[in-house]
Amino acid sequence: MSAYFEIRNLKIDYKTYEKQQRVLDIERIAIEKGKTYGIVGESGSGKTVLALAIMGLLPCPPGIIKSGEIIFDGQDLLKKKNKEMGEKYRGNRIAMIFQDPMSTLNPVFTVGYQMIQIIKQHQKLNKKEAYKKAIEMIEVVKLPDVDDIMKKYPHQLSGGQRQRIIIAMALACGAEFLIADEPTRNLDVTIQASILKLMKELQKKFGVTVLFIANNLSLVSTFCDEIGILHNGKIVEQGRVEEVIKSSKNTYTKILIDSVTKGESVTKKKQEKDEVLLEVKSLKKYFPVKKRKSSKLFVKAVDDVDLKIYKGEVVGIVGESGCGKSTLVNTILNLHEPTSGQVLFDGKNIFELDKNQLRKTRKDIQIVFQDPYWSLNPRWLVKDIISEPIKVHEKLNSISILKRVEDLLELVGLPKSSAFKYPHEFSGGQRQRIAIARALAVNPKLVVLDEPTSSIDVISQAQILELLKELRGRLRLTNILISHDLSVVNYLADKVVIMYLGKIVEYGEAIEVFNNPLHPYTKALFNSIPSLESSGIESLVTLEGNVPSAINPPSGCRFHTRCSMANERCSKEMPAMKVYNDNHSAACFLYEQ
Amino acid sequence: MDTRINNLLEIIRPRIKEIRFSFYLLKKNKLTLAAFYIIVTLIVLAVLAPYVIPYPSHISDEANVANKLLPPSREFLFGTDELGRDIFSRVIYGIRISLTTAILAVGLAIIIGVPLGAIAGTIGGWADEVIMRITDIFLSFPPLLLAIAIVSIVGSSLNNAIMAIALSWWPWYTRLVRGQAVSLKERKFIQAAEAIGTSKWKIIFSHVVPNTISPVIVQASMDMGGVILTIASLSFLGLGAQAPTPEWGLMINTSRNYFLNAWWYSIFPGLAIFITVLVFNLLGDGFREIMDPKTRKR
Repeated sequence: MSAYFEIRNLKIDYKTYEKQQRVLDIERIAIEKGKTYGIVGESGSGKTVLALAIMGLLPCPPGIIKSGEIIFDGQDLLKKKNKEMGEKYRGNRIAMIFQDPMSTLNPVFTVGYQMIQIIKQHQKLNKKEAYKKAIEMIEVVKLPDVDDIMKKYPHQLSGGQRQRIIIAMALACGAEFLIADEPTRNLDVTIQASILKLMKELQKKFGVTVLFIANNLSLVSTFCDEIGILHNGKIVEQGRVEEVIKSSKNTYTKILIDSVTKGESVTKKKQEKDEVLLEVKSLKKYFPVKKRKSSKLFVKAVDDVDLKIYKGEVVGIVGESGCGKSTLVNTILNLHEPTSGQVLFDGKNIFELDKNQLRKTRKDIQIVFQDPYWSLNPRWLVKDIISEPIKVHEKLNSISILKRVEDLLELVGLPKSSAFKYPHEFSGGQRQRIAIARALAVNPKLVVLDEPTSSIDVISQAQILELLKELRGRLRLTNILISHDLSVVNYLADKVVIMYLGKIVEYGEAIEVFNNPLHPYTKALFNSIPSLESSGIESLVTLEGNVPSAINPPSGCRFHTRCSMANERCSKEMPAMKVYNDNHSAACFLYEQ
Repeated sequence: MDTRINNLLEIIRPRIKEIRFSFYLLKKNKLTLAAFYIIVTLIVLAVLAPYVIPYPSHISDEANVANKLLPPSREFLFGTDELGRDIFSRVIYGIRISLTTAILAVGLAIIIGVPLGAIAGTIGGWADEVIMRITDIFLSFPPLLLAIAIVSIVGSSLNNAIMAIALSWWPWYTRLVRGQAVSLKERKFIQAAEAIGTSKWKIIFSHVVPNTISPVIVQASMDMGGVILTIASLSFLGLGAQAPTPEWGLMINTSRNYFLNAWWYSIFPGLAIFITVLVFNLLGDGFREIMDPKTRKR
């Protein structure tokens, strides 16, 4: 007797230029009805191939299904013809939720129209009934103002709302089996938590079976009943979540678990440094919005920010997307003109420097970008990439430049021979090392790390973090670290700045902030992140509603629209930053007395 | 010294691998492969033209009136023209003329167009405005008409025709490269270079331009066909190559007078134009598939 959903001996090859390669080799995955099975794997481990194979959407060639069975409710899906899959299974009984809801929805039709079309097609209902059904489903996924939502185009909704619509569509067509391929990858943590909660709730309500695919072990372990670790196309370990995590046998699984738990057990010594390296004084950066000629609207990306960074410390800036952290840093780097305010670097206002002085400051401030795939010029050799700042700022002959490049490569843990390769010959983690080497090439005083690990694999992430920590100790660097990943910040930062909608809401020593968060937003943020210890999805805190628009931010405290503790005063007055204890300050009325 | 050689090998080895990969992709599309081989043959013929043609002296205006307008035979594969010259020899030598003029014209257009496009796209603002409005002016004339106008001002010769074609062709490259540059500007490595303090010009010429090479190569290989056609058209109108140059368009023009009783005179140069233009178009398509994975056929 086979399970409700079962994969047996599935072997899939990919034909590439040089050879035929086995990309997926799964002995057995079995999922009982109504359960959630999570697949964890790095990019390139075969996650998406698996999902596509189940849906019957695997492109062949280059894909070749060698052998195996995918049994769904007693039927082998691999034996079905494409037409039958389309009519009876795909979209009807099996639905898929993709990473990026924007590319799943058609941007030229309203959400309502698309829902009605899909319901009409799959459920054979007339227009009126389909409309009713669509409204009902939108209510089920807990979106407010149903009629309003129906009339909107996908780009008018936020990422979280779009993902809710996709879920509503899947359920409206009566899906029993849902494949979720990293459904929350592009979403903020607080939104992620609420989407996951919703999925869990609906799963119970409709009795849906879920195959959840992600690269984040803590996320999968929080959400799923059973878990399978996919590595190089093979399931290396599977079983109940607690068993796999508590008593993992496979080395790969252990590395994976280690890399997740790393950031959480480190204690940091407090550093007392007096010398201010960078001071930001009431910095404002507004971007004009061209809507109508007469009205002057601005996106208030950074609004009145004060910040001091001392020599030798690492300051983490944390916040959801759109909170202004990148704008803040780009303004500090002088890539944007500020609307008002000052940035003092080494005592000099960087916006009032002449060309020569600006070049000198550029030498002292370097940046490592988030995405190592696009931060390195694909047409340059690694040696040219790393030596770019050297050539700009120092006059050296080519032999000593090459020597310096080789030293830098060694410093970041890459072989010397890498100098004569092109960026595409390296993995994401290695590319990030190259980017770090470039940033260190001219001995800068301040290195800005813009989400240095968020677009590389978990295991390389841990290695990059280790490298950064080591370099910090060795070179006594001052860092600004931007991240939405709190464990990264916890691992590296001495001080933490929490931003919300262009304002700093909390600031303090990292240990203090992490152990004793004051601002309700900080608390919500910390508690919305799944970790290996969290007991089920219900334990996550979610924030209601969306991040308000920065064009027209809420009056008073900007967080009051989503704050569970808000009272009348919050909507009228803007709370000021107040120091509470030992350099730990927050902007909230709760601690006024 | 040894390390130098090693370093050189380190650079070359992945390049070879890449070229082999390109060949693999080329081989998958039989039509492109055929076009590729034909073009290689054409280039070889063009280089060796004076040595392989049976009657090297026939490319000048030497007259053998006794042999005039003979139909194709073993002696004269494509027949002879009104001065008794071997058309086969002249058509083969014509490859040399067409290819060199086309390469010069396209090259010149690239040299003018690419830097302007890169400047317009990277700097933006008024530079963008000025450069793109100028290209708009050029683009508002049909290229052939513009070339005719330019040649009739400066006088008709093959060199002037090349210049005229380059002048009417560069705006396409400017547009293409500008579009690329605008999207490249969002790439982080450009921002990184800015943050490093690299100068604007260095960014334009060593970051932006090298990254626009692939689409420019595709465009250039497609344009080769069009340019060959335009040169033939100009020569046909008497505005390009002048007699006795064995240029295909010119040959067809002369052949009009003998069109009714000497079909071979116009057919063979015409076929030469047709095949050359076709293979360059096919190669351009093939290049696009190789360089832009998105248009690749599965």
